Amino acid sequence: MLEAIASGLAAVLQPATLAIMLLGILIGFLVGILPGLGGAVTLAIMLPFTFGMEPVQGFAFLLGMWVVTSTTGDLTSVLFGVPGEATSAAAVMDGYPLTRKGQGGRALGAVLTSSAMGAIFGAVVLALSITLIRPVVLALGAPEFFALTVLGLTFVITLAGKHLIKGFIMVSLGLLVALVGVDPEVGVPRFTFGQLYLWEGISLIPVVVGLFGGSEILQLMLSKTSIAKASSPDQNKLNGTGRGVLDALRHWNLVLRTAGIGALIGMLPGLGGSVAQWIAYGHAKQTSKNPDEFGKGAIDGLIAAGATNNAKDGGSLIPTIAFGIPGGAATAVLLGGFMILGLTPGKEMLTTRLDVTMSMVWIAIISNLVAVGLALLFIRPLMKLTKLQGPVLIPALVLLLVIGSYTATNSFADVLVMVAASAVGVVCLRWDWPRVPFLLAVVLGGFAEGYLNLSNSIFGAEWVTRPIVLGIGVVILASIVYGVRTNRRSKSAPVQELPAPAQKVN
Amino acid sequence: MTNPSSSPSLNTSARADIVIAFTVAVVMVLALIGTFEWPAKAAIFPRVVIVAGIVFSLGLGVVLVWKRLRHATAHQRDATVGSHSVPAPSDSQTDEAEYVFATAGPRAWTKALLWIAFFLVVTAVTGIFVSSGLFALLYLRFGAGKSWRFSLIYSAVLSICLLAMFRWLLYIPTPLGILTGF
Repeated sequence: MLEAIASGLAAVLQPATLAIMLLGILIGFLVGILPGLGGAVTLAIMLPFTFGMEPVQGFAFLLGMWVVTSTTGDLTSVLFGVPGEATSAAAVMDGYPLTRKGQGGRALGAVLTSSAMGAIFGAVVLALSITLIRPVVLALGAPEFFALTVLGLTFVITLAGKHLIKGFIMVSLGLLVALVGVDPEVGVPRFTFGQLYLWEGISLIPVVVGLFGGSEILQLMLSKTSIAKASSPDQNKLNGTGRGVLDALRHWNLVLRTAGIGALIGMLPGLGGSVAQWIAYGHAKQTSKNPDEFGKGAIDGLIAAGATNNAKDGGSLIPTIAFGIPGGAATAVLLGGFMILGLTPGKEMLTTRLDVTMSMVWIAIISNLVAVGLALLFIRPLMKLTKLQGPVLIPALVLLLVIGSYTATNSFADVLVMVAASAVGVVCLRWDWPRVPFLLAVVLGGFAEGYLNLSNSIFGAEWVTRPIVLGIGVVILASIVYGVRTNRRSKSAPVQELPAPAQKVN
Repeated sequence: MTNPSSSPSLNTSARADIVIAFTVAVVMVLALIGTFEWPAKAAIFPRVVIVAGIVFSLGLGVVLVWKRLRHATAHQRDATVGSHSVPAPSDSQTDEAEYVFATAGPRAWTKALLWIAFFLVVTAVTGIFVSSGLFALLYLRFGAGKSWRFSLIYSAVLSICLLAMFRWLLYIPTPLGILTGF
């Protein structure tokens, strides 16, 4: 094992491999900033360029590109409130309010540092568990995955804050949106209104981009002010960034916990980062000393989002490498890379080609560190963008919204979905309805129904009694009881002299 | 002294919640009716979700209406005694989206929505490469009050960056115009 780790590092440090990796990092850096253009799209475009490369070189190019998109996706989330990736949406919740308060440097410092720490954690998990994980993942079937999706949905209690019923209504609406499309069981079109576009369901990307980015841009159009308004001593100064870095290091415990959640959920095929970020965010809020600050610029919320986002990549590589089961869309494309580079996921990658697997671990670590270093170098000019007048940014931001949503299925209908999601986002912001439970339900709805149908088909009603399902059921119940009790306690807390805005993460 | 009834955020919030709750309930009921056209296997999960949605939204709507009715008399009594003073919003509150959306006048809303509609329609007709430049030029000149020179340079740079990134470098599909096919 140690020998494989050493030879993996030696292979990555070859000048030609490093140069190829740097090229991949630069492409990933640019693409990650563009909303909607996720790692999967980038990998698909760049896959043909790996023909003829050595395996380690090929992975240096592809992996270097992919893992960096997670890091840079957080940049636009923090600076403009527009998620660079679907998996960067949680970073908007507290990163953007911090930028508006004039603490963008601190926010970027914190999210980038936690991203780097999360990435390293994910890579270490990948290295340590790759040979041990097989029995664990194989023990999970459709019933356990269904239970996990329900567990994810119960986090609505935490994420909805004091508006519990509103949170449940938004979950119902989100699940309704997730139901659009051809039914997976009998092939009946549901809520498609005769539109062929809707047969495949509503894509996540335009929903995320509209729900968070659309409403923020409309706000900018109406207020006509710059993004960062409040003056702060941190503004545009590196000491603000340094403070953010220190914040992340001080919250190392939170980074480890949320990175663990990211790696674990990333490991589960299908669920991926869109779910992991909200579960980790909910966990961070549950365990925070200042849960009321979440959604208004809580530094621990932002740190949790950054750490999870990057740790999940290491986790999702585990089933891809060990069984050839992709953890998400990007790893599915990456599987194609295995074929092109003449490798077979599974036993070979864990035995005779363990050095290549370990080189992937090193690539994940080095790429993230390089990307974070690059991003930190550009913090000053990036921060200046937030001081520009809002109307000057509008044409570029609207353009990014439209292109970002269009890339989901290359249909103009995606743009219309983004517009509709923006309207939902505006209604939520204007009248204090939580947006996150809606998004979480859109993400989890399809999984929940699919796994429930599978569980019933294979096990009948007996799946409910499976030990892991029961264990997750206990966690779900405990989470509900804890959430409701915390909710009641915060409602019955004495009112302050000046009434604080309702606790929300919308 | 500001009368609380004049604060759009405070006054319309409960009413808006009621409207939203009942709107969701109506949507859910219509969706439930739609499920009766499907085979039972395809309808079970959606019905569970929809019924839960109906229960929550109707429940919230009814509770809010009841609360409003119960407090209506007390509110009227308070109003006859005298108006309350509401502190002026702080700088950080005026930055919040809720405040911006609540206080923007109908004219500002109409203008913003018309600009977005303009961009979408022109994109559908001419494609993103033409519409982005045109939108940037006109929005910066007439929406943001910038000079023609600034607006022209900005829109040219934006269009070139867009072309370079999506057409020449990556060739990622972008919205094509119905008329131009570009």
